[in-house]
Amino acid sequence: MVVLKYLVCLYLMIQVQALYEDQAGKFDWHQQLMGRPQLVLSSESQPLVVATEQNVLAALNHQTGALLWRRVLERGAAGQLRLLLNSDGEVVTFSGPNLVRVWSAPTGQLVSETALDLPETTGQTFVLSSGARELAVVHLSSPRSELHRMSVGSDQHTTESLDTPWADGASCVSGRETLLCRHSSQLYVLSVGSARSEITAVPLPPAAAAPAQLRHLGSDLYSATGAGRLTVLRAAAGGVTTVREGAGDMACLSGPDGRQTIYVGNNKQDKVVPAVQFESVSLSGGPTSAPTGRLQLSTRHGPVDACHVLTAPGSAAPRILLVGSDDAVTMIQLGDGVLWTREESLASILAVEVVDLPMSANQVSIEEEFGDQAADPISALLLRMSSQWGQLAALAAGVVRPTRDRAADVNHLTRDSFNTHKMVVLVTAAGKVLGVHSETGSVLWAVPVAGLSPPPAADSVVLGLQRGTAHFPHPPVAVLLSGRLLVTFNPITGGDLQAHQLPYEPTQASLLPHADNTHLKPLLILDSAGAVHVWPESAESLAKSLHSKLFFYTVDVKSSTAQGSAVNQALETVPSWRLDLGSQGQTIRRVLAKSPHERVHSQGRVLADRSVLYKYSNPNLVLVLADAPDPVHKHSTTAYLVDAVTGHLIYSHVQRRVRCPCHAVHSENWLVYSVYNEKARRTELTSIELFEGKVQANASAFSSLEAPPQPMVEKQTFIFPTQIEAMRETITEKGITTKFIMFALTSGSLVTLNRALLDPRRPLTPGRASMEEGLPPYTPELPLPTVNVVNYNRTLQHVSGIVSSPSGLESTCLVFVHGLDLYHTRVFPSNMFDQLKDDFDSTFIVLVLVGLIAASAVTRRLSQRRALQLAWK
Amino acid sequence: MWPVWWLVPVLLAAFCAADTDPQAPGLYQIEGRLMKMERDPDPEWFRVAFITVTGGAETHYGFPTADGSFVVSNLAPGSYVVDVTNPRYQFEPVRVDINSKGKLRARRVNHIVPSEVTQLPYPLKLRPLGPYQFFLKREQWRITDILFSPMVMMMILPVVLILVLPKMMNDPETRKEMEQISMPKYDMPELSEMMTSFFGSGDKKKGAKPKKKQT
Repeated sequence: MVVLKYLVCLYLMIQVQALYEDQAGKFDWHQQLMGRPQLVLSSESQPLVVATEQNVLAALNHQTGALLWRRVLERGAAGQLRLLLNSDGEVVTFSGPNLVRVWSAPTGQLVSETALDLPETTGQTFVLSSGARELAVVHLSSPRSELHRMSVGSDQHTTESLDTPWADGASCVSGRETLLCRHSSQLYVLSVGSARSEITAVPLPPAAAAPAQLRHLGSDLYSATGAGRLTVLRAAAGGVTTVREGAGDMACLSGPDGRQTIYVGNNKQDKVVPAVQFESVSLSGGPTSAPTGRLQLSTRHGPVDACHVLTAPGSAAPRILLVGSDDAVTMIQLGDGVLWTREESLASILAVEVVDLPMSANQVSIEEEFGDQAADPISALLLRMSSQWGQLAALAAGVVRPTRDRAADVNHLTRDSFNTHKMVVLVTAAGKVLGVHSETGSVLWAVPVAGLSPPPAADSVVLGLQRGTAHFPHPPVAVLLSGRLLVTFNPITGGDLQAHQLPYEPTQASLLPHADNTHLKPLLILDSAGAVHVWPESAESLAKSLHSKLFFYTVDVKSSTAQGSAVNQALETVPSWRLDLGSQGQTIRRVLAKSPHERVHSQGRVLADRSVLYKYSNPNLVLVLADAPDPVHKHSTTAYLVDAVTGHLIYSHVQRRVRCPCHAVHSENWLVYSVYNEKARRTELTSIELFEGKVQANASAFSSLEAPPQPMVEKQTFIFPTQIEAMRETITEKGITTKFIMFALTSGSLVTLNRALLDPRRPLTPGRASMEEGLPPYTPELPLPTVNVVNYNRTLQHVSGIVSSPSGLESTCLVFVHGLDLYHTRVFPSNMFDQLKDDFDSTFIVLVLVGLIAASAVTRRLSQRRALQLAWK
Repeated sequence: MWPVWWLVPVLLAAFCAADTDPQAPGLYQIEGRLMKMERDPDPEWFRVAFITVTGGAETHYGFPTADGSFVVSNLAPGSYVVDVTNPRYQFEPVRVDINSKGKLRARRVNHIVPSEVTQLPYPLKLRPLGPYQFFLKREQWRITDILFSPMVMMMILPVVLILVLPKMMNDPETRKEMEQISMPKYDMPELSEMMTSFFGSGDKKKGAKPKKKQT
């Protein structure tokens, strides 16, 4: 019987968060992305096929730019697409070290796959093709390179060895039959067209000098672009000839051999609007009939980097696919304008900040009504009447003009009544800052920021909200720090963008939790010399007055050391502690502090005997995960819990024969991290929970400097049945709702799991006390039922992060997932307890009400007649 | 006795394991076939399905051809879990072990006892177990749910008492019976009495007449 009760309890715990079928698509949206196109293939009868830098093979609709199909390959070099060819209506790709695949162009279905017999190489790999089935693979390395010639579908394989002493530091581009390399002031042409390959060295043409970028245009033509000059080169077995030299930023080639036309594009600025000027150059000599033109692009986009001509001349105006420096993909028709644009920089998001929308005038007046406690009753009544009149007027206006689309206008964005619609501010690796409406997924504003790309390191971008939308007339301000570049902007409109180059090298930055007299939270920046800078500088006095409460910690991943420092009166750091893991052979894999926005609702947990176990809620606790090779156990992984203020090592836990990839969540007084167990070959989750004990040292505030004695540590490890790509905990406004942990899996699902199932106090043998506390007995394997998959059948691939943010409803947490797909949804960890359910039957209630009113009217009439009859008797 | 019995399945597994020619020194491939559902109402899933092969840090992908066969290449010796990702059908993952000589063995995934071997055929044959259940079923509205809910029962019972009891009182035989039962009399006018006198006489004219004819 006890066991049955436990099973019921466990079942209820697992099955809390789930969707009904009619809720699909109601709160969530999904966008499929492909990344920055690298290779483009088009023909008139087939969809446009592109291979991207994010290792995606995708087909797009020519007319609309809609994604027809998408095939995602492995991350990194294992999935890199090196060749894209058209062969009898099928698409041939060479990807990774040796895989040749043939795909059906209309459906994306694999037709055949061959793994070529190639040796492993440490150098760069380039693939040349003289025909669709004849391949030449160059393994370029210094001093000798290898050339493998093979034809797909047969066993022919010849290997040649080449002398390439210049290969180190050379930048190369592969064409059809030639490989063009530049090293210092020489150009090297490796030609494989004839039976024997040959290498020709020629001096670099002056216009193609060092910073210029080499590109392959088609057949044997290459372009070198740099500093507004463009040189078109023809590379052949004999050497390199310059075809055209002049101004230009990009070039693309159209037409069959012999009647080729080169389109040369120049980036222009029409006032603030970027534009591209195209001119055409015929290679066969003589005047060209191909059209030229100037095209205005949207202000949302930066200058264009590359172009691809899509249709053959002879037909109407040529279509050109433009790839921007900000990863925007634009299809234009010369003389006709822009056909469509895809915002592909969204596939490489580095930082996310979710910002509340500003309140409308009505909401402000309602807030005022409750905010002023000391107001006299008459003025409160007047205020209430005026605010209710405003609500009525707004309702009437909504009825009169219901179709007005207010979401599209960034200047009139207002919060909805439950604050579930937000502005998601994104910073991408392409150097673009975007604002996305969380309800619809539409990009409301986008600004390319010069100098932001490429970021120095993916995790070195700091994005913070200095001032929210609640401080009218002060506008909201967001700050972005990447390397030496500091950018401030309005996160709702994308306006007021100001970029500053800092004169020092920042190593760490964080927002001061206290705001100055304009409600602006200053940004504290620690530089490499150990000095603390304040942005804006006017807030320096505020930072100085708080210096005794400021502590910094920095983690150097290269040397695997963490160090902490205090701040003195002159805003200089004084080193206070140092944790050197590198000297012990360990490598820091992950450092995780708690979310600063989190609120902890309860200070303790009530046990079965009605006593309270107080949580160890140290806001300065940082989890450091490090792994190290182990002579006996192959790998060992250690979790360190460090107090970032004092450097006090609160707890450490070593696991043998496990290694990273490590993912972790850290919240309230608990943390969960995942490791891969090499011995049992499975993913394991370790859950740690910290308690102060049955008495609390200081009930009002936690201080690291007068810290309570060592906390009690509870820990348990569970088996997670699949592999994890990212994990994050849910967060709600007041922290009352049960915490769930969301996992993005390699299979493309986003699964939620109740934190209570990862409670390290789950007993091995069920007893009365644990039953009363609602602790299910320990089970080694965690259940992942498919009803907990919040993204149902919308597969999310290569997830790079999950962002959770609270809404105005305590039950609701907003979730944004980014990677090769963007996905946004709402999760209800404890179900919708503060909201009417979707299936609330309003029609039934209305029917019952109407029925009751009718019945009472009828009975009233009957009783009246009865009374009259009685009176006549 | 124990070790010998343990060895038998392991040895069998080693003999049964298929030989593959290494496609590059030290790297091997997993082959298999994705089976379609018979009478599939929505065959579209097959076009977007792909195979994930995960082992430790890295994930490899395989793509099925139109007949469902797939090959995942460039795998170093080790243990991998092969699974099918698609939006429609659930599959059972399979563990494939590749030893340093390139022998392959497929077995059931058992996370709790990793050493237990339940051999599966290789090359792999992956069959759908059934459609994914992503959604909960909404509760259906039924009239019996309403009628038997306690609230409705509580409403119906007083109505029955109010409408039926007065009729029983009108019946002369029952009245005699009731009179025989000596009831303590209260002076206070009771609400229920007022109600019965009010409704009871009204019902007599409308409802009582056809009943008398029948009897």
